[in-house]
Amino acid sequence: MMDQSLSVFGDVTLRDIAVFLLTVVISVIVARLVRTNVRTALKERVAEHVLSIAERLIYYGIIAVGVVIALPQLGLHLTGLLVAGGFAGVVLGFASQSVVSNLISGLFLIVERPIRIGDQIQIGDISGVVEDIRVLSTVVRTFDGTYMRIPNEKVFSSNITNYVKYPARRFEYSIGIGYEDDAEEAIQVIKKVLEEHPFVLVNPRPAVYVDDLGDSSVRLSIRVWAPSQVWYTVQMELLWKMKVELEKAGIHIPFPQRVIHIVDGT
Amino acid sequence: MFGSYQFGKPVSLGSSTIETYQEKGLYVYHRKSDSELKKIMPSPFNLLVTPVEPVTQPEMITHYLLIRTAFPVLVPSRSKITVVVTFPIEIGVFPETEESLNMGFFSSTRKEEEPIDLFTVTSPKYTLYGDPDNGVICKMWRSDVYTQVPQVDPLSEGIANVEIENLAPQRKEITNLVFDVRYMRIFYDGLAMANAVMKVNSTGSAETSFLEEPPLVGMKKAATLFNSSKGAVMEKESFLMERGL
Repeated sequence: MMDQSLSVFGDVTLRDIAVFLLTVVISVIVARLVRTNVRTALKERVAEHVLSIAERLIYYGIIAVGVVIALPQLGLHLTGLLVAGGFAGVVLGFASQSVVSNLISGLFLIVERPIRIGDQIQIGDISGVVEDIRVLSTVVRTFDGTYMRIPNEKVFSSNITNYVKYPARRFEYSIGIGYEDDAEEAIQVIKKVLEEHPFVLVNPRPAVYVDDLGDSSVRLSIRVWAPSQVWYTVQMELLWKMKVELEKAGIHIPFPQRVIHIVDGT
Repeated sequence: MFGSYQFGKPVSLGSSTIETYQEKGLYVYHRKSDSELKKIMPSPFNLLVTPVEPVTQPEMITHYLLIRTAFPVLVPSRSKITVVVTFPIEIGVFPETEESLNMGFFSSTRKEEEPIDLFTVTSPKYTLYGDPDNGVICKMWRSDVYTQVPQVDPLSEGIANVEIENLAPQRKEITNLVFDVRYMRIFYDGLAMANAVMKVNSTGSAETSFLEEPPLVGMKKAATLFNSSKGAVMEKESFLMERGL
């Protein structure tokens, strides 16, 4: 009786309008709260422009859900729309399959964080520096300066090697010296070179040892830890320094050789 | 040594010499040492030569300094001792503008200048504090342990008074002192000095920090490369040593 007296149009009463508005207002409040929390949680992890897009998607998505829930209060039932929408959804679903896949993969990459902007990485057979992680794709500058846009689906499903994820990394050399040379002396010479380089870490300690008695040389193995940011520079610098110092000490790096005994067959 | 120098006056810093002069109408900054450096300046300028946070050479890759003592320092349970250790010196050369002269050296309102030059006469070395998966890269320095200020080369070694407080129920052996040098307060007056604190807590980890007070009366505050006021959010100005003492 009360509702009929307050009817505005058709079966819609003032109370229905109030419930509709209340639902929309609540959805706006919830959307704002979620947006704020998402920003707080992801601001250190995600680039600003990506975060901005994610924020808007979440904000308007929640409001849209609120409006859809509230619409029946105004007598607008979405059953018909759902049938039409179902067909359109199938068409759109097929059309946007890869987009959605990339989007979801991008969100997982943002949350899991196997790579960050500036990291030196290898994704599948692509190596380089991560320039940007977007919602749909990841941009890599390869070491030879090429721009590579990799769909996030491929990034997510590929083997990812992050060369700088940890603060330090190890690399290795193998240097051959002659059998006539003093391996102990060679080890001391190499250790001195390592000691003098600022970025050869004191801890974990570098290791220098005889690794193999090869066909042409005594193989020395040298294992070095360096800060991840500079490991490649250190790796390049050390090899030549070791070669120079070994030669200064009279230790030779032999060419492949084979001793042939000729048997006098009379 | 450390201090202010007028344009044109040479500065002798051990094996290095700094000269400022005019050449073909240009104002030149020239450091003569093993690695020579020459820069053209926009105007005649005075120099401020001061110790800076020792993590810039040969390249700034970290802001942590690990001082490894020659021998372990035993600190009895629930007690406090003060030891003196050395730290590496890195030298910063800053242009001294009229503005900074009028406002006094490094007063709280002074605009921080970018250094013209950073160098060291020490041999830098780095290490990992902790494990390869979760440690931190630190500039490393080996130091003897003293009870009073030792004789050192002021261009290569500074002095840190470290008060170590052991709050744990067991005696602790200290070999490593790791500091976040973004919050290092270096003071100088011929010799560079700092006051530091290490608190060993009951779980075996330790918190290290620097004190604002100069070790000796009348010492000047050194220039800083890390201006903490630039950051919007002030972090806790200490380092938590959780990966071994």
